[in-house]
Amino acid sequence: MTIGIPRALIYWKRPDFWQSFFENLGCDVLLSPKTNKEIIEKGVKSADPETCFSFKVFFGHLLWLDEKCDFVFVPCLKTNKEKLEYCPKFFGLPDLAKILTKTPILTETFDERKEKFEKTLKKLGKKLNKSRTEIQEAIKIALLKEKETKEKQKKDFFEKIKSKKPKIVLVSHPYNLYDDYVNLRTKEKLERLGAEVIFIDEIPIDETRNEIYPKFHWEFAKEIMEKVQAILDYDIAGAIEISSFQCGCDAVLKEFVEKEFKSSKIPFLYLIIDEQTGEAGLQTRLEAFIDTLKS
Amino acid sequence: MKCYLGIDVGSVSTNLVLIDKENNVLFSLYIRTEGDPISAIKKGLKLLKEKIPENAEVVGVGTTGSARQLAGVITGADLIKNEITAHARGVAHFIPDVKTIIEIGGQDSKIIILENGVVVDFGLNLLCAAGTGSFLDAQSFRLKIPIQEFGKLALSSKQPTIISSRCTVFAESDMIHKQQIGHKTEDIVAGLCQGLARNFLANIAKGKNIKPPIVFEGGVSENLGMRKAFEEALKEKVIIPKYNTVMGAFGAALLVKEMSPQKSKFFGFGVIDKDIKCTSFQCKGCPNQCEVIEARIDGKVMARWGDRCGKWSNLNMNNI
Repeated sequence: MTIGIPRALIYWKRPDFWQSFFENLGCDVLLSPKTNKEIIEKGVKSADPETCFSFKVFFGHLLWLDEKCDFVFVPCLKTNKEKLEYCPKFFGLPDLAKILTKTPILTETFDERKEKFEKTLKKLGKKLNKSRTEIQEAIKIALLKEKETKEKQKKDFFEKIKSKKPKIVLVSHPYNLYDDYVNLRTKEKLERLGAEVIFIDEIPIDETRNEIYPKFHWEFAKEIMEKVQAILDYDIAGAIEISSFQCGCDAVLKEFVEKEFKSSKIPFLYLIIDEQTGEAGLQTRLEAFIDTLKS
Repeated sequence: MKCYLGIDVGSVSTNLVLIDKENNVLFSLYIRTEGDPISAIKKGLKLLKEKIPENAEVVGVGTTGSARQLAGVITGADLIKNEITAHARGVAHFIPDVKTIIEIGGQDSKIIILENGVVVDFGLNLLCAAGTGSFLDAQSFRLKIPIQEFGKLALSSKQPTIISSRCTVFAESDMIHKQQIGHKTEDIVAGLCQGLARNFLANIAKGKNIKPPIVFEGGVSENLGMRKAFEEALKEKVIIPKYNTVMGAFGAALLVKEMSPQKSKFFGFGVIDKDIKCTSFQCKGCPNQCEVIEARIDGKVMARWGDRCGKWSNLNMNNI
């Protein structure tokens, strides 16, 4: 049995976990390719024009998988273990996906206000006719795999932080940070300009830290803000926030992120990306931003 | 006499500034790009060639503006610099203690915040060209008022009418509506200037620490109505520096002078008569299908760009 996973949105939040989970359940996993022009065009054509750019990208990946696998996995993410909500658009994602594809959608609602993550996973595994022990084993391996990556990331972070180059923090959602077609290779462009790039999600969090950021309704807002505050302990040269066009949540979050960096006198640049974004405009902003840091 | 040339090629205008070692401007030029940057650069060089002092020797060329890459390739520039840095450098030469620069050009507008002559923050218009020179151009054409008269007319208004400023598409329909209900043209023009200044401050300059001295430059700073609108909205004096319409080119010339290239890569004025062409093709190497631009001088490929992976832009031009 082949499970298709769109390489977009939710996938990037826990890339190792989902792939490993299904593989250890004995399924084949078909991951859609890295975002390319064709995928974006597909997504833009099928998505509602009012939706944010990241969703358009997701729909492109979804349609790429259509009729290439037995199921496409699209979970409904509602709340995480801290009972904080995901982006409201995530709630309706499986229902929207069902309208668009011929291949059936495999889904389950992850709402940790009501039910533990593991329990929902068991329900998901049962849909694939897997036994309790098989599912438990798959969860265990997937979590281990995820932990390994996180630890490596932590090690890499401390290497990067030692770098003599000006360090720039890229603040965004994982689906913007890790999709270099979507972000127009911002990381590579910055590296060419002589910077060391750190993704916000790579920053390790000290669990004992006092919460000083405002209480947020959204899980990503808390995660981003606590990491923004954590990075301020290190010597960084600048911060760049990337936002998807028409992302409502980011419009709120940006104000807090910007305030945080600016009050610490760290130069801050805000970029909005969409399917029309020209490389030239981005390059101009990045070059000027790097010039700002040099002086 | 050693001279440095700055070339700023934007969407609407192409500017050239030639300076000597003491930063004196020997030549400055503002011409329209008219959708053809290559011809505009050639034309600019031709006009410079006619006026350039006989003993002048161009020992450094810097390009800036949205077509800086192209301009750099076809002239053999020593420095290709983004327009924010170039404008800031230019303005800081005339007003060393400048803290805020408002620059409005043909299709973009920017705010630059400086501390001690150094850029610390900037903002550019993000997704649309609302309130830039192109829009004013279109409106002056529609109202049949020459753009040079536009600002003066705005100053004569005693009762500027309120024009929606959130988006220029709405601003235009609002203007038409105001005309239809009988507002005077000068009141509409003045209202438009106020709307554009408001729009600039609410979007591009949002959250920026605007402190005097405030400098206003770029093509739109020629517009007296816009100057007044900014002064009223900011409640501060707005300084219009010398060479306000060619500041990017001046900044690029200063920057290349400071870099002082050992031996300039400048191709000389010969390029004026050369056949310069840009063509594009779609790479079929992967699903991205990038549009690759190829610049040729007399048939010889000088540079390629536009590919995401670098397959074409990294090709060594000497091997072609």
